Amino acid sequence: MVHVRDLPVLGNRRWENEPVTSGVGSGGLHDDGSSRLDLWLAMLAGDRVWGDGDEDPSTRQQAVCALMLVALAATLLVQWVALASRHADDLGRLAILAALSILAAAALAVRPTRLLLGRQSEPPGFLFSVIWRAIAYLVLIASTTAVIGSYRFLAAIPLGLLGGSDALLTLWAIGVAPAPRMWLKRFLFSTIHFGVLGAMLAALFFEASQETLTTMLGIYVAMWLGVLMAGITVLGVNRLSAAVDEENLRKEEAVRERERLMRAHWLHDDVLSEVHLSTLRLKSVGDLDAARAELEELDHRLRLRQLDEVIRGGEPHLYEILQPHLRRIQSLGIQLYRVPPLELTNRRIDQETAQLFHRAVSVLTSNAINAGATRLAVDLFSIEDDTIALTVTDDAGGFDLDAVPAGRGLSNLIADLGPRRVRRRDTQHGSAVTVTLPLTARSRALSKEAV
Amino acid sequence: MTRILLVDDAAAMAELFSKEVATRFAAEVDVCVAVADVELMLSRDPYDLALVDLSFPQEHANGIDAMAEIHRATPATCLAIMTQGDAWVSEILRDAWDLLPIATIISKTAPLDYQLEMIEGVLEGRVVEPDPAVQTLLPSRRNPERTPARFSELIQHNGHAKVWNVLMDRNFEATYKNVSDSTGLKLNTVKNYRSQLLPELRVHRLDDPSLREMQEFAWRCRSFLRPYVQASLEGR
Repeated sequence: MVHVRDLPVLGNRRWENEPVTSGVGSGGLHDDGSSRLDLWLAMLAGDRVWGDGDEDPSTRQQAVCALMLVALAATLLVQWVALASRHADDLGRLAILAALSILAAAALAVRPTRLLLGRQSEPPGFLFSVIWRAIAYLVLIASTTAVIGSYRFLAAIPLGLLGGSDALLTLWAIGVAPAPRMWLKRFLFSTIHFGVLGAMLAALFFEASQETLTTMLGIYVAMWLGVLMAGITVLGVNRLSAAVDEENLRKEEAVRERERLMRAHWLHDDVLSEVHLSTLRLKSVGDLDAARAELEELDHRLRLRQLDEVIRGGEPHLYEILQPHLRRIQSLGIQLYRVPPLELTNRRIDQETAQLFHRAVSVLTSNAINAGATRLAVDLFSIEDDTIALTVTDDAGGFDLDAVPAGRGLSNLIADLGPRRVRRRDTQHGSAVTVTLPLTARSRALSKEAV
Repeated sequence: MTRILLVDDAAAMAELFSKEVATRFAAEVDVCVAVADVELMLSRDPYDLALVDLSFPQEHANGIDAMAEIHRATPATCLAIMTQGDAWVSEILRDAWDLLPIATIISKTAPLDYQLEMIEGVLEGRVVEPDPAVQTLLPSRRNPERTPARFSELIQHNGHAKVWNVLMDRNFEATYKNVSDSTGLKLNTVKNYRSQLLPELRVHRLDDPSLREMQEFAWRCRSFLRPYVQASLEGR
């Protein structure tokens, strides 16, 4: 007895909306002070702290890293030029400050350099990162200010560029949309800004010396210039990045459109012609078994066509290549008594190796099927990450590899790979043929990534 | 009479297949085309066997949700997966294999007689190996450390529960900022919680996962995660 219940999905009442989540990441800083401090600390900790997974750095990240390195180099250059033009008595002390500055810049340059080289590292601890980076920035700012004397605003330009690009990397890492205009507004009403402004007014009120007033004005201008530079950097680079993203999206859309057309064409020309071919053949078959066999053959041909698409689409897993062949063996009523587990099949290979592996599986299994095998085993071995060995064991009796007629799949495979890479041995009831496939550099790299 | 439940959203195929199964085993076969309806089906007499598909794209649910519910309601019901067994469902297949007492895995594309033989074996209480084509997607042995009870280790305190609670929503955009906004936790706290969970996540075959990978995992395994999350959020 069969009861078919075709009930409607009841509004996905339990599955879709259970977790209670409020709004997703908005633009800028939170409204309350503690959250704002949280974000400032997050930015001070740097982007590496927030990096998870082992994703390769994106091009936009690398572009910002290049900007950071330029800004660091410019900061040091400004210092050295200023130092060379100084004739003060305290040149020795300034030189020590400049040396400390080099150390701080070198420490800050490690992360962007690694990202530019495409290398990832273990994320450091949050507190450790906040402390060392705060010290590095403090040293860099203080030493630059001290060394260049009254032209402090000059230092604010590279330092602003550095701070802005560094902040942008972190904002991207934690998923915050940068809002530099809001930051400028907040800086305008911040205690730091009012503190410096108040100090200047007090100096005017108490009739401080011209030199003191000039120094304070220099600090004030440098502060604003630094903040403006950082804001412009964040805004500019982020907009540029968004524009590039948009352009890429347009290009991707164009590629997808072509892909859609190609698939529509494939569906029309390949699939429908395969179905048409089977329909014609079915007209001439006399019994149900022959019809079933024809449909199974159609199923296999379509699966192979699908596999072609998978291989063309990138770097498939070994199991994706094995599956259509295993299903064919099954559909022919042949018993598969051993297949490789996930530990061996979960390996990705490049297109070239995939084509070769696909061909080897096809040739070995077809050879066994055509010989009348009733039981088959498929085994995989990985040899020092340089080669993959595929063995198909059957119960269809023995044969001589040298006697395989020319033009057959197996003889072509031997001719292409060389006789040393295709071996056969007798088993109790049949043969075990092993093909050893060399891996390309890309496939080896994929293996290492998987490890 | 043997009672079988077939949970599959491909209604036409499920109907035809259920008729074959019903005829072959003289069984009463109920077909359920939505995971959300499994609960209704379970209010009837218990089933001897449940054949469950893994992918329910229209419903934002998965086969683990259905099987976990069946197993909780009637632990004596044998569970078997019926799947296309391709790369698309490979992760969910591994999770189900590790976490539920799956009797066997039947490939939807295997010949009908082969599928029926597998079902017969399960009904007779024999050990039935998963379909060979699907075996390439399965580890050579189940991970004994990975059990439904082990999910309690993923919620060591209320903060972890808050994080998992938002990650269980597949439509949520999993960034640190969004998790922080949605949970009220500080950015650094979210990061620390993720770091705290890394050793335990390795048990679940996740090595240094990103927040997005944790979200995918949370969605796949929410049937096991949710009870602990809710208990923690409700202060139980």
